[in-house]
Amino acid sequence: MNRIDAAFGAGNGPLLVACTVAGDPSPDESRAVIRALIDAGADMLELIVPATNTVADGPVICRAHERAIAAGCGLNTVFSLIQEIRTYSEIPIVLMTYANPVVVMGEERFCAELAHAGGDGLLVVDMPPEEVSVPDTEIDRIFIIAPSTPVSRIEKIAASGGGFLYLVSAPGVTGRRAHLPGDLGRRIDIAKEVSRLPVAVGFGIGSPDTAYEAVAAGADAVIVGSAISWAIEDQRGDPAKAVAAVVKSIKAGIGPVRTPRSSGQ
Amino acid sequence: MTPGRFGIYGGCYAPEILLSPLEDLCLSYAAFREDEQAMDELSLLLSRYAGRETPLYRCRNLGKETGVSICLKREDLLHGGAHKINNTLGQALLAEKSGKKRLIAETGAGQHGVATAMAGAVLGLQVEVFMGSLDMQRQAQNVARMELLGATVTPVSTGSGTLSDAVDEALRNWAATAQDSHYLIGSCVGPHPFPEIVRDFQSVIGRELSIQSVSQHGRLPDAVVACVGGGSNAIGTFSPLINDSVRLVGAEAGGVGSDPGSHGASLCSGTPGILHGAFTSVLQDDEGQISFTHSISAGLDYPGVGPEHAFLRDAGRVEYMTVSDSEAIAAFRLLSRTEGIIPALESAHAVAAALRLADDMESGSMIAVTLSGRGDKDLATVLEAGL
Repeated sequence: MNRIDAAFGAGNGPLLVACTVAGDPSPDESRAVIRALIDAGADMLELIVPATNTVADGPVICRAHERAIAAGCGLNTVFSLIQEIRTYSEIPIVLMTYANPVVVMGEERFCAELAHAGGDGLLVVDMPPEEVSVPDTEIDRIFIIAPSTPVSRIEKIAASGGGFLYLVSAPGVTGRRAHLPGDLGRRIDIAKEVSRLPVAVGFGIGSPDTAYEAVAAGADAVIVGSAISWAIEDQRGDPAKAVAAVVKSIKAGIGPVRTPRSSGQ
Repeated sequence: MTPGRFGIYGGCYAPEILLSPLEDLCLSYAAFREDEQAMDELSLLLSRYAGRETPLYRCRNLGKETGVSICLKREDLLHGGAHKINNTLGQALLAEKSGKKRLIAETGAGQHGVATAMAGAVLGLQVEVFMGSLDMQRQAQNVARMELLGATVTPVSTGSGTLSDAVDEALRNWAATAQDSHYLIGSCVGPHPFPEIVRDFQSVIGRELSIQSVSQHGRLPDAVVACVGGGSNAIGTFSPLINDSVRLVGAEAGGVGSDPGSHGASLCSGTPGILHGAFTSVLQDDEGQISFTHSISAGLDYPGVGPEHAFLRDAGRVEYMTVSDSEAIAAFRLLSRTEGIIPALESAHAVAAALRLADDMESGSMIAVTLSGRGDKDLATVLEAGL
């Protein structure tokens, strides 16, 4: 069983996937940020490869991409960061990237390098299953389901993917929202009806309330990205401390002892 | 060839959230092409609103010393001053027939933004244009025109503040608003089906050129030249001529040198990669990071190119060459003084390439150049370079 399956199968309740742009705000500080995310209780890491053209990301994560690139973080640095994490943690690691670095290196070699570094999953934001040319590797290919994705396509995506289904909470790009849409539970139910894969909800999870709304709607995991990037941007003095606070706060939102709150519409 | 592919190039590398709108667009475009009434309506708009057909003008003076005839396909005479209106009227009508209420567009030099604002105004659609903040400074007059035409111009200050960043922002906006908005992409770039749609709407240039050349000169030109940024005027010019024995030449932005960041020559210097949804020839580093670009012409300042151009380059059907900023400015001045036509700086690249070709062609040869737009918008830039 790989690390992603093991994490979902451990019976620890909904997972928190902490997402950060690798190398943000600098490779050194990013090391400390990642360590802090793990120590604060993240169940899985999603590391984003810094990129120049980021069409699926909102302004907060875009600025994180720009900081990481300005600090000189490239793909080799990202793989090094993963290798370094593996010296002290077995946390599942999903690499999120835009398609270009993957096709420039070659999909097969990219997946092999990622596996060699210690990665477990690969989410290529702008590479739908139809454009994947190397589907079978030891790396789980993770795909996104959008609010506009029809059921027939969810089946196809589920059949092509591994690890978990990444369900986007609402139309648009990454970013925090006050509440998640009211139809989220129905969409999670549909995904679970057509797939054996766990469902992780992302885009819009940035507070204990939204995290709670997602797990109350049936999510097996919540993915927190913009809130972490914002913490890094807002607390440049000690980004590690700031991101730890975000993880602890959101972890509390999905904790089993949390008092139920009304689901936002 | 699979749908959306030009050889190995093209495809649909888009976030999942855009796939459903793209699939809807494929279906609505297929229906639109079969809709005779819609085609008639487009024809009327192109002729009576935009000013087609545009003349094929044989230069009286340019090229005289080489003995080569240079003809200009006068897209600069269209309403708005550029070929862009062919595409924007087509896509805006497609959007209207598909029930969309709003157009999203990106613009570099401002010509596409202006053409989208015009198409939106005439068809009663809301328009929001995303434009790099640097381009807004370079093309302040076009910003004012768009606003006068009722469009909202939204500055994009991420990245280099140029066209590439504006495309990103337009795609982001479309991801959130696709239900009632059509993304009216300005060139033959982007995920399938955009490269095909834009090529089809622009191919009126090459069809007319072909007919006019035969009727006026009794034959097709020996060579046809067009400038290539994203490549829409070039693919519109070339595509109807692909199966004819005509030399086809694309002129790219050579900028101020061959170092990364100093030019915009995606076909001459790029490598295979993905930009804005298509696998094509891209200016990038070894790890796939997109390079900054430079061109004196905002419309050519783009690190990618339409995927069909990459295919035509590999197939050896179209030759692509670079033209430097200074060569383009020299051609800008020359055409103004010899023919009384002030070309867009983009088009000046094509004129410069044609003059280079003319030097090596036999006397009596004929070159047709697509003059993609007029140069009023570029006067300040050229004045700055010293007239």
